Amino acid sequence: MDRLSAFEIITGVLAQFTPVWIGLAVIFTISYVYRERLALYGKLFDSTIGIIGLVLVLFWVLTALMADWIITFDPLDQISGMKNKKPGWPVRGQEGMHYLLGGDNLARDVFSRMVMGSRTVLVIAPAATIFAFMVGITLGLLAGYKGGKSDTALTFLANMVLAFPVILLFFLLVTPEIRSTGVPLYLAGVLFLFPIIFFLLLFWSRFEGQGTKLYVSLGLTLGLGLWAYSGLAFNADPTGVFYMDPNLLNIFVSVVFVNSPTVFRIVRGLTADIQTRDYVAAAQTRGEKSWYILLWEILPNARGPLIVDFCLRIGYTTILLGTLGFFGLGVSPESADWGMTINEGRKLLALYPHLALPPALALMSLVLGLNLLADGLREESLKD
Amino acid sequence: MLNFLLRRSGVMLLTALSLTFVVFFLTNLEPNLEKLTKTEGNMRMTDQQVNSWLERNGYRQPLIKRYGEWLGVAPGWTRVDEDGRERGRCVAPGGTIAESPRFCGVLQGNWGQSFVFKEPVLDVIGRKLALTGWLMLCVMLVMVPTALVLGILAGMREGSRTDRTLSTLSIITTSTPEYVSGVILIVVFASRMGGLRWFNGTAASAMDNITFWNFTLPVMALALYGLGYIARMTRASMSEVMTEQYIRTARLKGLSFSAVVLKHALRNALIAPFTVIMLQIPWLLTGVAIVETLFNYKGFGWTLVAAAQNNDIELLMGASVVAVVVVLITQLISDIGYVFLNPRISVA
Amino acid sequence: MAQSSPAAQSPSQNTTPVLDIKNLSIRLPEKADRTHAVRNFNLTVNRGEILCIVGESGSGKSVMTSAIMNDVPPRLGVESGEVLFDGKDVLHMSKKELSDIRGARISMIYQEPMAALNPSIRIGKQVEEVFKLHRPEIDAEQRKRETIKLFEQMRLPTPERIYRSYPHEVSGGQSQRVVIAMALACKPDILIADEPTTALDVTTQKEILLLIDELRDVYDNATLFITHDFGVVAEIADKVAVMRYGELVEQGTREEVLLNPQQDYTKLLVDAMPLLETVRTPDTGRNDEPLVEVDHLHKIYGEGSEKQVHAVNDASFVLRAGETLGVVGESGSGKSTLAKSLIRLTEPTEGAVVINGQDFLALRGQDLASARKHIQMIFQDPYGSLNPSQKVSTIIGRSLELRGVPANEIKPKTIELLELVGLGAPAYDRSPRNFSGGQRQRIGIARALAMEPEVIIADESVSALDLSIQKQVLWLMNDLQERLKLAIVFITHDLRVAAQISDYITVMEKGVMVELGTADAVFNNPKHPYTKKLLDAAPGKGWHPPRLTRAEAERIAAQDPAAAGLSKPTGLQGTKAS
Repeated sequence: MDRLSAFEIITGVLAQFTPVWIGLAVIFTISYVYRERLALYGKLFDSTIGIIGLVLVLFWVLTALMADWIITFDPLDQISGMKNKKPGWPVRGQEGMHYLLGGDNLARDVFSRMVMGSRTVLVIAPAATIFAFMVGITLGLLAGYKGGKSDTALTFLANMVLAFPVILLFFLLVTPEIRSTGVPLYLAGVLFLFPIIFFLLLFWSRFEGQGTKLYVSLGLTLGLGLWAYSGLAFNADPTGVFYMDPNLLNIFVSVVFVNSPTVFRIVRGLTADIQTRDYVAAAQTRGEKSWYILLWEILPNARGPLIVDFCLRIGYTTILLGTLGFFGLGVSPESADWGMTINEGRKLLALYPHLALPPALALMSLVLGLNLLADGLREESLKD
Repeated sequence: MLNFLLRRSGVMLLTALSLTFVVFFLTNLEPNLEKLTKTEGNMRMTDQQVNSWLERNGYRQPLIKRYGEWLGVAPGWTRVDEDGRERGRCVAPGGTIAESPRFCGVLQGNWGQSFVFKEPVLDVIGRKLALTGWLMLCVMLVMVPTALVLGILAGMREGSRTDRTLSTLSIITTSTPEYVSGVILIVVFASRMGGLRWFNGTAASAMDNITFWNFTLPVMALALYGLGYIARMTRASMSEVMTEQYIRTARLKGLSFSAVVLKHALRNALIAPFTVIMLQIPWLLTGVAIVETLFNYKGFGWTLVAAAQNNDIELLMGASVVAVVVVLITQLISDIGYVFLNPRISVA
Repeated sequence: MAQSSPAAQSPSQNTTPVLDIKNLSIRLPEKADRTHAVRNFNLTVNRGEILCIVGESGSGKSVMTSAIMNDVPPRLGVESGEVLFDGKDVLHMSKKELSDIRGARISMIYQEPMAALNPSIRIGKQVEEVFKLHRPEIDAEQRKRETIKLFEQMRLPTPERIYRSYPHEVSGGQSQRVVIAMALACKPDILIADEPTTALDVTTQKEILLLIDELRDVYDNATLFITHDFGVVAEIADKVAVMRYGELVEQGTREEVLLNPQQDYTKLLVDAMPLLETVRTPDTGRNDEPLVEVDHLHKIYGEGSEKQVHAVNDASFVLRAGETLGVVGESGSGKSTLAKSLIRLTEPTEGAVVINGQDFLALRGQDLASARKHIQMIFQDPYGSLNPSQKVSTIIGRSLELRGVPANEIKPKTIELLELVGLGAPAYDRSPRNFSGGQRQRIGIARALAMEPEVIIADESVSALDLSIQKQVLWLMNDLQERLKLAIVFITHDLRVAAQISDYITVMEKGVMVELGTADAVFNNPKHPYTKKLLDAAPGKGWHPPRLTRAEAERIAAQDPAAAGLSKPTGLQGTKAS
């Protein structure tokens, strides 16, 4: 059996991604047909940059979803004789099978590890960003609208976290030792409360005085929220549906903690700007409560910049996760986390570049996709 | 202005104290102390032994008191052992309490001793900062002018082909964190696979002697990531300024396009990026740690990583102080610079 | 089309026009609502005359003038035509030739004088730059002398100080004088003024108009003056050209166009020109309970004796159902603060506001929230006052919801309100961005009415609208007031607008109500010198352009459906006749 040529490697990799290509084709055909009705998302089709970004992002989302069909080997399987083998190397004893992108220093398949690695990133990065947004939006609205002491205090806190060198914070927060002290747990206990608070305020301000609607929405929020909360933050979900690995929780909390102040600052600025508009004054003169004005009058008008920042922030979070992995603080030692793979590969970079290069390029293309998408969205939302 | 400076400095001081306290708290958590004890003593110490060692060495005082000692505003602990030996935070081995100073903390210049380097923290940090200083200097010299020029060229004529090309390039570099660009640069320019082998893939030799060959790759890896960001900020600011009415005024005065850009647009367009550039410096710290680790250049970032990984508490504290101070000072400079660049803002 | 007769005022004997625009057409981008910004436009301008270009927003007047200096925005494009300046086509000049002409022989002044000056360069430097460019022979010292001389000529106070100042350190009127100085530095042949007084107070406007008129005699240049206000036309024009949809509708001398307009559209515009004539006479003998009683109201901003601003100083008035109080004043007079204090968008420092017998200022929490429905506001900016992320149904329906209207009645009631303001059911499901400024203002009125208030505060509610639309909205408010017996506090900077709707008028200066009386008394027998000054500065005073009769208006409406909205044949005219 021969080693595959460069051309064969490329076609081989492309062929492995067949489910993704089909998925992309379906999504784009449908979106293009209905683009008139899809508001901002539909308008994205007018922007070349935005479309390229969307393709890249969707590519990785679909890859993460269908990773099981794409991989060629179990990403944890070590096959003897495949250690540090070059891309396209045939697998001994398995006729017609190759390590498409070579083997790593533990003789695992680099290609399959790269594909599987997308899952870690595409679950943690968006989820952590959503939590950061919940914290940042709730506090940012409050500070931007009310001003005064709460604003001063919150802004001071936010600036303090921002002045904290990220790398130092990670080294202090994401260590196995810190878990035994309970610090991440307390942080999670506070940070994970915000989504519940946010939705309670959202429904309460809208449906206050409307009987059933109010009770149903509040009841559902509290029920679902506290259920997930108990599981995620304290691993106390009796049904076991919501659960987070302690090390993962640690990383998750740190990433949310680092991102929240920036979101806070953006929302605070937007709020301070939007609240000077006359429609806010109109809401005040008809006797609306503060939280109604914040969540139903101001927040919807901040959505443009926030959506753009959301995309950018997922990208930034992806980079942060990579940084963590790079310093050996990743999700778990044997996971296929991109950052950790780069870290393992970098030591042998001069000799075996194929170890670190695939995850590095994968990470870059995902972040690039998100940034391009954000740029396209910004451009299109400005056209209104 | 003076009032503004005083107020800003006050807030800065408060931030610095809060931050160092947080770091102090996190580095002095129980598991860290336990680890410290075992490295000082031996790995097989019982819990009780660990406890008594910590007790004897002043680690069992209230946290705030110990923070005060570390800072140098609370008197250092003292103790007379059963054998009559006088010991204390400020007491040199074999010295007496009476002869020793009462305070010995950061403010007195006593930053403690590094376990890993076996020398005073202040010396280690000083040496490492100098190394990183060179790296930062080169990065700034490459990054800032390039970014500004690219941003201005792109923002000058919004929507033009130049603009689109440069903007896409900027997005690509902002999407490439240092550990990715570093890997790509090494593969392309310093490995067999890339075949070019123009530069050194490690910057270890640059610690003694910086050359074009050993320093280019780390500088590039660091500069690329920040470059796109500053260029995009500059572009946004520039293209906004170019739509201002006073630009039209200048054009209709009869000024040529280049004169309009240089005399009327530039200064107004650079106000926003200035702040970004200053705030970039602390942000570079993470990048510095990555690049120094990747290229094996043992500067400040590398030291921070090493201290954290080896539980070198005193060194980590020292490095944190430096990092926090650098961040806060750049913020202050950015505020002041903003005021100077922008005549519209007067500070009451 | 009326041809221009030889202008009597023109001091120049030069017969060849200095500017000759021939068949100019400028394209609009593809998705615009019409194909051309300017189409087949012809115009000639002579030395020594002031030609006013009049048109409503979107008429293409600004785009047209941008072609004169070959500065058409890149996304538009000149399709055909010539702009001959001294016989040479500006549109085909080289960069060098253009640079030589711009700022030296043709120059321009703008609507926002503050925005026209570079914020980070000292004023003196910016003016000197023109000398550096176009008169390189003179040295630095002389440049400064010339600049100071220009400042003196523009009657700027303390020219030396202005020379050293940054733009943000001088007032709006002063910066407009600086911009004019810059424009006139090289004694241009043509001065283009693009709404140069629209952003200024009336008294400043008057001074600037006088200055431009005077300078025309000194420099013997041609002035192209763009405006939407026939009052300004009456003050300054020698000749007038009316534009609509990028085309020339009518041109002639000031007297011809203002007093004897030929085209229907011009007739409508002239008809919409507000006059300084009162319309209403209130019943001063009423002694029923007042709806609003404001008693010694003060609002002081800032703390510490030095930084304090007394924005409203001792305001008192009473207003009964069905009456309107016009609050008139220039920017910074405290009229908007008064409005905000009345409705508690800002908390007054001292005094009382009694609405419907209830002390409004003493209310807190839920009491305040429920009492707010008595007093509602109509805002100035038709674009900023409607939440762009909500549909009309939410914007109006939410008020009904808050008032406790049952869910199933909200939709019919909202549609009822929309019909009341002349929009009707089709507006229900649409979002604000689908409406024009005037229509948005109607939605704003419907939103206020949804609370069923007794008192309405209208804060510059028609200032941002074209004059013809302004007239419609005033009609609407007038109608609604009659039907619903509303008390209206109408805040405006424009005395002419206040005249059309007010029973009583108060004039504010630096936070103080310097005059308060019936509209008739204030206009015809002003007591305070400031009131006199304001009245004196109102543009178009003393002119009596023809008003349309009901029959004429209906005829025009039938022939020109696009302009039909302009000529609703009820409302103010009916009131005026009574």
